[in-house]
Amino acid sequence: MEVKKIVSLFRNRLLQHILFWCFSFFVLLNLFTGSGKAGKIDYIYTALFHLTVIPFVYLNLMVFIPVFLSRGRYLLYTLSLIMVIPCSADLNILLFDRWIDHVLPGYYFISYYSLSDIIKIMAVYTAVTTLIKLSRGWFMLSDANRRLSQLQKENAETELRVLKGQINPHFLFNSLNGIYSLALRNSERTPETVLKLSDILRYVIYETNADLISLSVEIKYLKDYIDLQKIRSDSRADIEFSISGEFKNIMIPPMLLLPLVENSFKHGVKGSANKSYIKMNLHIDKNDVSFVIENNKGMVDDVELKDYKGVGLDNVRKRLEMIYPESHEFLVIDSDDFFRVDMKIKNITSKDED
Amino acid sequence: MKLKTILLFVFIALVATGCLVKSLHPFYKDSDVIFEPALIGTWLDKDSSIWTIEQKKVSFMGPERFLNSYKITFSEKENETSVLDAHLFKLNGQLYVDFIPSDVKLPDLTSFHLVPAHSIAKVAFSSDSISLKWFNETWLAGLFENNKIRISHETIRDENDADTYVLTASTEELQKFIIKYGNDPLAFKDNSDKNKPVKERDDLLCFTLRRVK
Repeated sequence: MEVKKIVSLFRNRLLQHILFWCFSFFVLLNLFTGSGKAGKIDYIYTALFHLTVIPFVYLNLMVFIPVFLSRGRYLLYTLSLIMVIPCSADLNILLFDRWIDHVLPGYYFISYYSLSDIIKIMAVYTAVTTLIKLSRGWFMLSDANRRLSQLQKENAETELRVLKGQINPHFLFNSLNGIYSLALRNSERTPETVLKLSDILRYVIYETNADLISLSVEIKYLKDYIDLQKIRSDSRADIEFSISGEFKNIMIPPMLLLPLVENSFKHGVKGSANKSYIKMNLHIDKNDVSFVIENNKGMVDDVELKDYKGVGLDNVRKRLEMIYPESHEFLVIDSDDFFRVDMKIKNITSKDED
Repeated sequence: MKLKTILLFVFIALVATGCLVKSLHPFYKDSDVIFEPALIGTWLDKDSSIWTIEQKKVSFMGPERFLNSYKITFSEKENETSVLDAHLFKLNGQLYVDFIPSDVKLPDLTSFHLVPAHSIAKVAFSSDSISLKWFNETWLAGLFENNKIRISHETIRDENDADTYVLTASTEELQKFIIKYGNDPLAFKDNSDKNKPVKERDDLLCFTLRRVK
């Protein structure tokens, strides 16, 4: 708490300026007195010397830097300094050669430094204070960027939660439509289908809140979903699901593959009477995962509302862009005869890394 | 304090205390130096001591040549003599003379421990008189003690706890100071002994030489 108070105190700009000038006073006092002991006269001289430095420094900080330097007008900035630094040095000489006797009668001062020496001192003050201001601006910019990144991250997380939320009702809606279709036909497979759906819903509701799940879990429910859809389609469709490579340690975002499979069943098998097919291939090569799914097209009995069409694909695409912005490919081929999605994710997280 | 004592103090500069302002660096730059032949001659002060002023000449490593400076030989009644080198120069229209001991005849081991110091006096002259006003150390010491003046110097404290000030400022700084404060009423006027009448006090550091020949 006390540390926070001290940090907050040091962030006070007025205090920062006071500290800077105290430090400047200390440095100049030592410079002016050399190895000798500083007397009252040296303190007075150092304070008076600052009278000509301070206005110049603030002219640079409050006018030249914001008006010229910050706007990239480097030539004007340089010219301004070239004009003002010698003027300030002249003022310093005039102060100690002429005006000081009227300000402090009874004290004996001269201008101890040549014009070139004072110009050098002013140039040093210009460089130091300009660098401090620029570095302070840089720190503020970094801080703002950090806050912006944090905000963007929070927004992304919020958006991801929203996208996940979109999946659940969408999936449930399609599945219930399938069961509705079976029930209309008084199919004996209706109870089994409801159980499969129950398993899948358990997964969707309770296990998809995590950022990452094991790929094996996703595969299990993928198979359940395929079984559910096979029951519904009376095995008329040719459905292939092949897996190659070692996937036990691979972690993926939940519900990444299921919407793609769901999309193929809906637009491929559902409306096609014969010769329907869905081919799915999941390949794992170390930490690279690719999933290709292709189906032929049929007459779709479109029970889905127009506004929700393609929600599953868009959802997956958006989540990939947010979670794997530089390391994924998502290719959709929508021809007259078939529909194909080719998804690749590189350097995916494994359990060892997690 | 008699004038001859003051001059002796100039002669051995740093190790002595006195009423003259002493400086390690000359008060003149070569470009300021002027030479007035009218100063050459023999002059007498109020104590009848003799001031012989000649143009300084050198013959080291070559033929004898004259310099733009003076050799001043100060001879008291008892035939004690002091020799000074003097440079006449002008600052801001005012004539000054810079003095420094010359040809010090002391044993080597003693002279090895001495550093010659410069002193400065305002000067005015006519065909038969020279007026000298030395820079007042008492006035300067008071300013140092009261922290009223800022110029590079060293304070030397002797065994009697008396302080002597030696200016260590550069010639440029010394000239700036002389130009700015040379007309201060007390800078070139003695005010050391308040018990003495003003006239008498002035006589110690401000006096006139009369031409003898």
